[in-house]
Amino acid sequence: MVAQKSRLLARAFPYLDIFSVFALTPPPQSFGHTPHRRLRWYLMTGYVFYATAILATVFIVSYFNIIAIDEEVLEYNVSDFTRVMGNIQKSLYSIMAIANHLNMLINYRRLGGIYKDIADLEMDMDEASQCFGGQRQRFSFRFRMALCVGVWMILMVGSMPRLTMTAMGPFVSTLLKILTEFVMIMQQLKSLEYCVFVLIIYELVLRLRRTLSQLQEEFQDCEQQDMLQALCVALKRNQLLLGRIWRLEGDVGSYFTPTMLLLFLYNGLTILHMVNWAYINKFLYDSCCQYERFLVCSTLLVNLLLPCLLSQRCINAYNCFPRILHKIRCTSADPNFAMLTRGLREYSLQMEHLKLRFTCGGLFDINLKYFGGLLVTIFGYIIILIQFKVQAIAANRYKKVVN
Amino acid sequence: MSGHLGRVLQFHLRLYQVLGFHGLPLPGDGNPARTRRRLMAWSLFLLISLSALVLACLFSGEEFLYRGDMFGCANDALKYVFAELGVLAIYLETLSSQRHLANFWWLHFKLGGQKTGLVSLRSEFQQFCRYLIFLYAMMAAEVAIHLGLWQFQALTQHMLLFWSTYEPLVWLTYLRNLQFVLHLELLREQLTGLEREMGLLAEYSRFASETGRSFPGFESFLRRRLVQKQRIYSHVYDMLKCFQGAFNFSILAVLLTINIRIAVDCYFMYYSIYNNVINNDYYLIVPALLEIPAFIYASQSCMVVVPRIAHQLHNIVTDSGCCSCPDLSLQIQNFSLQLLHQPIRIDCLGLTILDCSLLTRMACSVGTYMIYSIQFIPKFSNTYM
Repeated sequence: MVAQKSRLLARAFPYLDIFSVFALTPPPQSFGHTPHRRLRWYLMTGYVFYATAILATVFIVSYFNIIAIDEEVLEYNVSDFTRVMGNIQKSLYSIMAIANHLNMLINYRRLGGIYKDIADLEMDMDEASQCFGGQRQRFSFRFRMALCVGVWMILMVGSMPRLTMTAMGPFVSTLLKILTEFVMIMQQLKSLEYCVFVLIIYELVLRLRRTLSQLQEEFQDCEQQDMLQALCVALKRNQLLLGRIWRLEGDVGSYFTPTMLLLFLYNGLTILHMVNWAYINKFLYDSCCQYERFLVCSTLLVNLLLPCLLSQRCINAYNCFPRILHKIRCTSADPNFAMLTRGLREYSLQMEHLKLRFTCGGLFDINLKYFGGLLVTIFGYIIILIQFKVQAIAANRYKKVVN
Repeated sequence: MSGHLGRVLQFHLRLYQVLGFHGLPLPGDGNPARTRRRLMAWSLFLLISLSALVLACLFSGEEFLYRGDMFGCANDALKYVFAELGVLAIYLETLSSQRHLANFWWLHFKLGGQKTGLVSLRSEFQQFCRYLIFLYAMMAAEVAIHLGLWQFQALTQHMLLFWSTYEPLVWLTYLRNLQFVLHLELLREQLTGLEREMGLLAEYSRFASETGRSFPGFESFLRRRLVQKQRIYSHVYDMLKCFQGAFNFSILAVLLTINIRIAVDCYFMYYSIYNNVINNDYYLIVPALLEIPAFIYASQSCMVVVPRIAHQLHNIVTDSGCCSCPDLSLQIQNFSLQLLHQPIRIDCLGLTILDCSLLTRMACSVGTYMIYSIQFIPKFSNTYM
């Protein structure tokens, strides 16, 4: 099993197990070699049937919700744009589930490669840091994982059903409401799965940066030629490991491209949809669920903010490396050592080429700058929709007063 | 033109010659100068006749434009005008950018000259499978939608006249777009080949440094191979410059033509739905919706290879515990600086980089204007009633 080789993956596996229960990712135990091949085959077959059943459930939920929203639009007589937006939003349930299941099927081997790369990188980093006393056993990764992913998962799973059950209205039966809650939570957890992988990459970057800082301290005190040469070899090794982290990030980004793209689209559209319905209810003298709607919109925004925030922190940690390289050059005991000069130049040039960039297939980057642009876009659309809605409602009232 | 073309490439370049997009003779053509003059005359003839066709459609009394209301008439006229601009840009650039295109193909043969053996048809299909999928999927989609459409909708006089004159312009735009994709695929093939070879060099150096086994002169061997890779990259960059010189204006014109057609048809689609007019020919924008992503995907696939080349370059190990190679390290730095100074950056006239974020911006702008138009339509009808 891959977990036996990697402590990072061992700490991430409980979360990945939860995600596999929601049919978001293959069970992590299915990667790696096990002597019980027949048993593993039986378990994988069972999981495939389980995932297919969940997909069918999503189709049922999507279909009945579209019917319900058509009835609701007819009752409230607000069919200009609300029906189109509502139908697209409910259809995205099915589209996201299909994309996620196809991604699990097509990119199964790539995900196995990602796990193997993480394990190999961690092992090579531990080996590279042995001459500096090894990696100190710390619990910061486990704590960061629990704080970012675990706490938010508990909050979201606990609060979303409470907030959205009432807002579904009388057009949906109770059983279908429960299934809809399951589907909505399932889709929002995809963001947290992405956060798990970003946190793993972040931890690898932090460990490598710590090793480089230790190298810098060694260069300050060392004047012997043999020791300097050994330190330069360690510097080159650090450079190669950083290149492998960059490559790993590319693989993770490619794996998550379709699902994160659809998640951003779905959350943005849902926020617009809920604001639209809040205005409809407000102008129809039916002040149902306004605070719940606000809290749900905040939850969806935080669910998009969390991957952007973690990606930004990872990028910032990665961009600290050139600063440490320049410190090595300035504070080294022998700054004119030719091997050191060449190594630092190569490292700097590599940092110039391999910029860390969390991206959704190139369509947009996942960082705080993009999140700001997303907020501006959503607010712009909200203003457009509200302006026209207010105008239409005022025109209707004017007609009633005249008649 | 010297060198040897595979059969797939030869067939498709012949197709572009027939369409007037490729004004150069192919290898094996007898009397190249006369062939080139004839091809240029053919392009000029196509340009003049298509322009005359569009002018006739715009100003004749026949029902080429929709006569029901002013909005439909303006919509059809707008499509004709932008298609004509696209055709003008395509053929004028074909006539005026022969030198860049000739340099592109000369560099392509120079780089590909090492493949002296006859390449099998299957490997050629694998090499160009992206281009072939885009091309024939577009053709099949357009033909299928046309055949399916006229089963369900009455072929009125206006529809017959409009689509029989507008559809050739649409096909020319699509095929020109896929000619860009073909050239970008050739560029990408060179870049990915370079990446693989750099990966091999990095593997050799890592193996030598870990095991200590290398032959005398290994460093100079690696350095010579690296110099060779630098020359290849320089040629690939020259190919990119020739590609941009040959296709700059028509890339912009073709993208604008397709994008404006999509925007106008989305607007008119909602207008038709709102007025309860049965008009199903807006399904024909589906192939157009696939054209821009196809080109942008090919463009982005070229641009993402260069960081991977740099990654493999810096994977080359120059220092180990027992020996060091200063000349090899200097060569790596030189190549790295060359990659920084010669970036693979595909844009049209410097206006915008043709990568996937352009798709995002296009989708946002079309969505915004769709919301504006949807919200304004009821007020128009109220005012007119």
